[in-house]
Amino acid sequence: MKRILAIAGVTWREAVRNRVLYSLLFFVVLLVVITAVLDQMTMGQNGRVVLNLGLALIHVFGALITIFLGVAVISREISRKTLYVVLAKPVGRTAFLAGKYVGLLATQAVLVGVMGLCLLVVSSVFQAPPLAQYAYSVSMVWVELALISAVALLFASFTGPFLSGMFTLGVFVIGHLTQGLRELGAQSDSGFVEGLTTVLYYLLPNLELFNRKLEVTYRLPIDWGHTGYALAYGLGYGGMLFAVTGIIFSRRDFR
Amino acid sequence: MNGEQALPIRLEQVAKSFPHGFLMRPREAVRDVSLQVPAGSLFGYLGHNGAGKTTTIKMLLGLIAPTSGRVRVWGGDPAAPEVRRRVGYLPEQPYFYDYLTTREFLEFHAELAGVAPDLRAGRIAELLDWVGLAGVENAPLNRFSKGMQQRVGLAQALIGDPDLVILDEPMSGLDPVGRKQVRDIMVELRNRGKTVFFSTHILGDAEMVCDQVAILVRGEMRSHGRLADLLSPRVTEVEVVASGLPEGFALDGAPMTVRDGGVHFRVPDDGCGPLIRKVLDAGGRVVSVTPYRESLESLFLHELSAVERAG
Repeated sequence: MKRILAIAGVTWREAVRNRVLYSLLFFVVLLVVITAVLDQMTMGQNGRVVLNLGLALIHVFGALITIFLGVAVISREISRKTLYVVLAKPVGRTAFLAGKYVGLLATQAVLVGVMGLCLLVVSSVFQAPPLAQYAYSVSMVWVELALISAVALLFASFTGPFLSGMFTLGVFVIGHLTQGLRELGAQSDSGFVEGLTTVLYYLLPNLELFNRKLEVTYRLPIDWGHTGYALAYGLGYGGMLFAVTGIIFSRRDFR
Repeated sequence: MNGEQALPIRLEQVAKSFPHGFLMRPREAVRDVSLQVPAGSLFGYLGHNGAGKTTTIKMLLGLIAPTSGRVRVWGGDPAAPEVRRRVGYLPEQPYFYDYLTTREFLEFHAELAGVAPDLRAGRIAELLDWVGLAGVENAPLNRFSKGMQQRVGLAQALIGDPDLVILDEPMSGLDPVGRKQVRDIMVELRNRGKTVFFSTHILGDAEMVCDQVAILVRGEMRSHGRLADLLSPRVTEVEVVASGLPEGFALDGAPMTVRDGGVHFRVPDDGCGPLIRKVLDAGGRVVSVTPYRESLESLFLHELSAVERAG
């Protein structure tokens, strides 16, 4: 456990010292610019629009940083051969992956947390969002990013950074469409299309489960039943991805 | 502890192939290597670039799995983390987390190696002093030259006080002073009872410090054993330097060069006496007589040419 935390600590330091957190500054500037523009364009709905757009921005921004970081933490270790001296120590390969993953989760938590706080401040200028729903929605974004990180680690464990990034981006996009695709496939006359959409639905993660923005914008009560299901799904799917990644990574030759 | 557990390294008919080219055909990097490294020895693993030294070392660390054969480190499979508890490793090109300072980097590796927290600061200071980097604890690694990174790499290899130290080309990138320091550290480690296994293609370094060597040529083990057993103790050649020789002086069959005011002859050991007599008879003066024994370099070149001749 200590070794996992040591690797997580180094992963966190890498993210900070490679100025990944500077991207937050970009987020804040973008948020302020969007708000200023919307302020000129919308009538009376500023608070809701800013909140909606801001949450979407956190989601997409967080996903892009996650894909970049998730792929880089493994690919860079392999291409720069920095993992050789780590794996030559009494550290198992799965423990190494776990350390990298925990470090990523911590980095994402800080990124999403800071972005969430910025949006809270900016949107409160117009109308303060319901705090419980807001915290819930932002937390679910983080859970989704945790799952995307597991996908990125899986691809990075057996292929190069470009392909890993593209594959993970593909899973992120399709992961939000699988439910709709399945419903579309069910209406199709083609058995092949229906079969394909069903396979995609079960094979790829259903990321829409973590999209809880409506609760904030329409001040809806939190559905804890759904939340429990989504968390169990995320944990199960993420655990399965991590197990497969561990098997691939453990069998890999580091030339 | 059984016999195998007392042995730091044991390779039995180890081979490794990598997929090569578009069709991913297997190409052998190492074939049929068998080797035993006794505890407490300073062992040189010699070979030209691309001979398979680094591949063998990576198999010793569990970074690469052998295609066939058996690799044992302290009696265990190095793929298991607990087996690597007694091993320290310096890679050939030491790339490290260069966003860390020297202290952060070594503390990280001390944690991985299982060094108790209260011992870490003292151990880091001692090692930095030993590798000639005292006073740079707070400097970031990305400001270090290649030679300094090599020294930090050596410090991380030794941080867990390992019983077996595996160094891949530890002298590469170092100036003559640095090379001597690394040689001294290896000898000191051996004197402290550690086993040092290092690869190199610089034969002079190996000849100076090794107890035992193995020579690898194109992935194949050619010689293996104690230097004293491998190298013939008999004199193979004698160099005689003479001066004051008359114009046109020559010796049948002996190469002769003129430099530094003297005439240099190289003759077989049994040709030395007749040559000196002939020089004196011609009115010349013998300046020096230097006997040459078989060197590691000549053994290595002999093995290399034998493999090349074989195809």
